[in-house]
Amino acid sequence: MARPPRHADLVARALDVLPDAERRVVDRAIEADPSLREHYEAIAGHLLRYDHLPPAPPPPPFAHLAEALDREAAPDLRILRLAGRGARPRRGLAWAAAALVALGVALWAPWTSRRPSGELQLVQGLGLRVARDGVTLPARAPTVRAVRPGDVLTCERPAEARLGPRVHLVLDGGGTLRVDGGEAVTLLSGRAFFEVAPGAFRVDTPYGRVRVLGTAFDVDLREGSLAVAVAHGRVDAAGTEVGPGASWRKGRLAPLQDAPGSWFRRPQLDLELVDPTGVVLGRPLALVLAFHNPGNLPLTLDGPGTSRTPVWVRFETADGALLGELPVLSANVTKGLELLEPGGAVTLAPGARAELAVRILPPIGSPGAYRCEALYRPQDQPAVLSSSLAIEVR
Amino acid sequence: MPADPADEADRALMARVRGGDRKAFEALYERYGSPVMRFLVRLGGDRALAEDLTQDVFLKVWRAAPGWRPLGRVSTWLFTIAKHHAWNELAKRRRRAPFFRGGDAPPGAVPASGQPAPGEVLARVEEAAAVERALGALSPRLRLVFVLLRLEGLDLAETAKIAGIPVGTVKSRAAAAEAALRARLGRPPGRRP
Repeated sequence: MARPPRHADLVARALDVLPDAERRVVDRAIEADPSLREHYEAIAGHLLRYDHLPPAPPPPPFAHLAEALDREAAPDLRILRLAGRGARPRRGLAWAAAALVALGVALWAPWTSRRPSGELQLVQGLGLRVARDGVTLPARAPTVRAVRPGDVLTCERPAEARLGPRVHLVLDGGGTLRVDGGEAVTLLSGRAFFEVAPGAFRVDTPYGRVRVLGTAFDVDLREGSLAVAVAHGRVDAAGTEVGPGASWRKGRLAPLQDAPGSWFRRPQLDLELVDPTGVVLGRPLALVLAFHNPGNLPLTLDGPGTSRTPVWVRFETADGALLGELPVLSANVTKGLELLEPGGAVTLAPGARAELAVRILPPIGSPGAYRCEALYRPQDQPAVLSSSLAIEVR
Repeated sequence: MPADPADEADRALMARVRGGDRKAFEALYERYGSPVMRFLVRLGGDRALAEDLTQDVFLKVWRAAPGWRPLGRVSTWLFTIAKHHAWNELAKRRRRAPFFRGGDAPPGAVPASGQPAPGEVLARVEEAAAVERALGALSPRLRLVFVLLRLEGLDLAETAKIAGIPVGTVKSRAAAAEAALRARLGRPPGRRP
């Protein structure tokens, strides 16, 4: 190094990451130049301050990771597994798997040659009806059946199914969904939750289109409008209610209009996955509500039918019993949002966006104590405000 | 260059993970769970988020293990996955408002050994909180380099690989981070001007 040491060299020396030869050159220069030495000592003294940072918490136990691996290993068998729980000898399982593979190999070629073009495999639970050309196909027990583009799925109560290899869906009771292919469906009414493996997938609705890029989300057509709730991943939505090209990550777009009662919210537990026997299979760990005021006038977020319903998050058990309520707004919010009363309704300035994230740690699934944390962040404001609530489930 | 015994052991472990050995994966988690968690806490600043990310990172490691090749250090590979995942997640939470909540120093910020005076304890906690806030105010690029070099103790070459930048850029970013942090923090408490 022929040139005199620069600030970057001194920082690297203080961090002790310089190669030996460079370090010697820098050390000699520091010894020879008092001003350089003073500069170096200031850097080294500053870097010592990071020795006193609090230790990081320990990572989650491996058991949590192992559970996630187990879930991931057999996601497609969730419904079918209900009937087959219980320990089995490993050898028996291996023989059964080998027999299935052999059977599959034997049947695959003729089966695929018979299968009409565009046909998809639907692994369904109870309660899902399939209509083809206006005729409802005979109901079956939990099974695998073929569906074709144009088939319409309906159900009276929440029903879960896998559509092809990539799409896991839960159709709410009363919902209607048309299969358009392996990469597209049309939600004609009601609400559906989708969990989609990476790759193109879209949900068309009468009010707009939702494009999916590997995520879990739901689409709601209640009250004649389109709302998207994203559990994880990313969703692009476009339509009359959401505006052109809106893109949300972990967000819900509430269809706000400059009229009272146009905003509505949904309890968090609407996103739960329930199997045909009523067992809750899973709930999202986090949900973000996102609000956007697309108009030119300030807009007040109110509950439906009231003038000043507080904005809160409500936690309920699966049978509707109240677990707790959490006022989610803080008096510290000023930019873009005007707080009318602590824990109460807010006003969005024109063009303002705000997000509200709720985390339940851990997910509510069994009796015990839970902690809920709400994180609140207005647009253009770096601070994240948080509030928490202890919940006890008995 | 002589082989690093620790890295050789990591590679042997990783080779077993590649073959689907769950026990080896648990051993890998025992070894690197804490460093990855610490790295993610320093990078993102949110402890609860870091827990989630740590689990996600190791899930990705398990999924990617079949394609792993012993071409570099296992730690570099792990930290690179952690960095990519953390940046993606933080980007989802908007770059302009990272979920960095410096200042909520946990009880662990107070040393358990010895019995410092209450004023000293408070000063240490405040100092740690100030340092965390300053780190949180750094841009993600500068923070990544500073965390890897200063807090994780990696060398220039490994930091360059993880960050995906040349060594010279690592040095200049470390210098920029140091200058920004020093300007933000000022002198340590108790020091005369």
